[in-house]
Amino acid sequence: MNIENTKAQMRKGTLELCILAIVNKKDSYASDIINTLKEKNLIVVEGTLYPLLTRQKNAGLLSYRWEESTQGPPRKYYALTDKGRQYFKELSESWEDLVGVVDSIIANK
Amino acid sequence: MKKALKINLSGLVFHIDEDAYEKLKKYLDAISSYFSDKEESKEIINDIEARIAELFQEKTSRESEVITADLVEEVIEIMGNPEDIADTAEDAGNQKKTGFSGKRASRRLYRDPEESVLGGVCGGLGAYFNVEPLIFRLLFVLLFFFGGASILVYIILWVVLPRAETAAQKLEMRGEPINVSNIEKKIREEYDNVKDNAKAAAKSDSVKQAQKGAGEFFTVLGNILLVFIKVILIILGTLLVLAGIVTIIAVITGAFVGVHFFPFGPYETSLADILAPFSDPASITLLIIGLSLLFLIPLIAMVYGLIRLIFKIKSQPRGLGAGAITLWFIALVMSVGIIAFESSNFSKSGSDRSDVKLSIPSDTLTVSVNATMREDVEDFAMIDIDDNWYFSENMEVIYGSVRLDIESSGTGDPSLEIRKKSKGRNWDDADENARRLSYYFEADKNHLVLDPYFFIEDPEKWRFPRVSLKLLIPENTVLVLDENTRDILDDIYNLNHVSDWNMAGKTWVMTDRGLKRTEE
Repeated sequence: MNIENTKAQMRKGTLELCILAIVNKKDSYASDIINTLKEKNLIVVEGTLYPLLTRQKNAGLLSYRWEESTQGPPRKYYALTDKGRQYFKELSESWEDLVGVVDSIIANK
Repeated sequence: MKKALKINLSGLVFHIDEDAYEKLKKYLDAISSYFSDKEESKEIINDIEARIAELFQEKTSRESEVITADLVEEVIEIMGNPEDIADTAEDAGNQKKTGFSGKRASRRLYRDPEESVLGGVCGGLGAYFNVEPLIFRLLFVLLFFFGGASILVYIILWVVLPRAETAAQKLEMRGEPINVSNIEKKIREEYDNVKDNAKAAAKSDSVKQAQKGAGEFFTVLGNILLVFIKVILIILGTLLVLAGIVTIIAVITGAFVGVHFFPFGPYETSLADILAPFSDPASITLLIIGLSLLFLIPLIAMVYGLIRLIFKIKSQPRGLGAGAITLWFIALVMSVGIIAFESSNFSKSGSDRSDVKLSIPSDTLTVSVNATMREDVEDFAMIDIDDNWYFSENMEVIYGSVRLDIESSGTGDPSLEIRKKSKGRNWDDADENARRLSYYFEADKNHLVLDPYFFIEDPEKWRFPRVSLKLLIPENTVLVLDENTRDILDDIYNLNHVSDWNMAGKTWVMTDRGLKRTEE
């Protein structure tokens, strides 16, 4: 057992939910999402985000549109689809349940 | 001084050092190798490229600043190593790549696109069982010729087995653990391959472009056609190889062991036997070795080349080609040398002439041929060259046909002129060779019995030997030609203009103008 590894696994498990949460708040492009996640120490390296975004988009949870940028190339702005919103709702409910259960277990100890 | 390249990353142009470029390319290739789904991998790579472009932009102050290897390294640090990137993908619920459940080091059967002749089935089998793919290819081809079911098995495997496309799949195919260092190693190998052959890469790119343009339907149709042609070529090639091998065996047995030549007799005859009369055994052996190599080397080269083509053997022993060519030239020089040297044995003509007086008690002479000898030679001779020379079965004696001419001796005594002729290295040698020819006849009163053949007891000394006889008889001699002289009569002048063939079995009289038929 490696504590760092366990922590990383925990972060990873919640990553999907966090992405949906960020996009739910405001349509975002990849770098926005990265900056938010990095700030909160949820991801260490940026590359890990892209496969997740692509898979979520392919799963029909996210959609994107191109927007011109004043600096650099056009940006891909992600937004939640209806299915994504539904998915997000369910996931966040399940997250709250999980947090409650885990908290209570820890407290009882 | 460093070489810099211009690259287009997500629509932005960057100047980048060559080593930095290679590092970046390797990194991107490594990432894409983790994803089995082509479309998905392309999309992810595009996004990552866009981000890298952004990072480059942030981290370079001026527009013209060159991207260095250090900067690439820094960006890679930010983006994370390929393994981590792929790892998140796994956690995202995509389980199709893990293959077997559990943790054993798995080995899976794939088709190997790098080791493919047709579909890479044998390459994959070879990788799976860790044996040379060649063995499976031989097996498939051999089984095809013994019934043909193997082609069906091949097609089924082709359809059923997935292609090993990503580095991870290729490692799995070989049963190597899938970890970062192995994947990187694999990518580096592939990358180096491409770099080594930039032209091939460019070509394949253009092929891909062309395929894209032609549309899916024609691509599929083209591929089917291509495979069909390949299958036919492989079958043809294999047949050629078999034919080549048969020819090689034939050349070897013909030259050294001996072949059953039906027309010549019941014994096996080799090239050595045929050449035996022309020279001594040592030169003949050398000549046969030389001639055999002359034929065998190109034959073997052809068969070997075909096998290499069919079975895609890449490695070649160093110096094999050069060695073969050298050996071939040695064989050529040796053969030409021996032939030139040996043919000098035939360069000069010599002869030996003897006249034998015949005493005929009356003025009638009967000429016949030694029938026993003729039967013996015809029954037991082994090789018959041009109806002129016959070899005894044990090759110890050569018989040669004699020719008989008949002329008038005027008023002189009857005689038989025996002229032996042969070739030789020089005049003396030729004369000596002529003298060695043995010829016998029997003169008994009015009866002259001629041997139909002369002979040499030393077959190595065969130098185009010939013996011609000239029978001189005085005018008014009555000449009875026996029926069996037919074959030895040669261009005899006669007043009746009867051909040689028809002169035998008839009675003639010598006149002052030549032979004339007697009235019967």
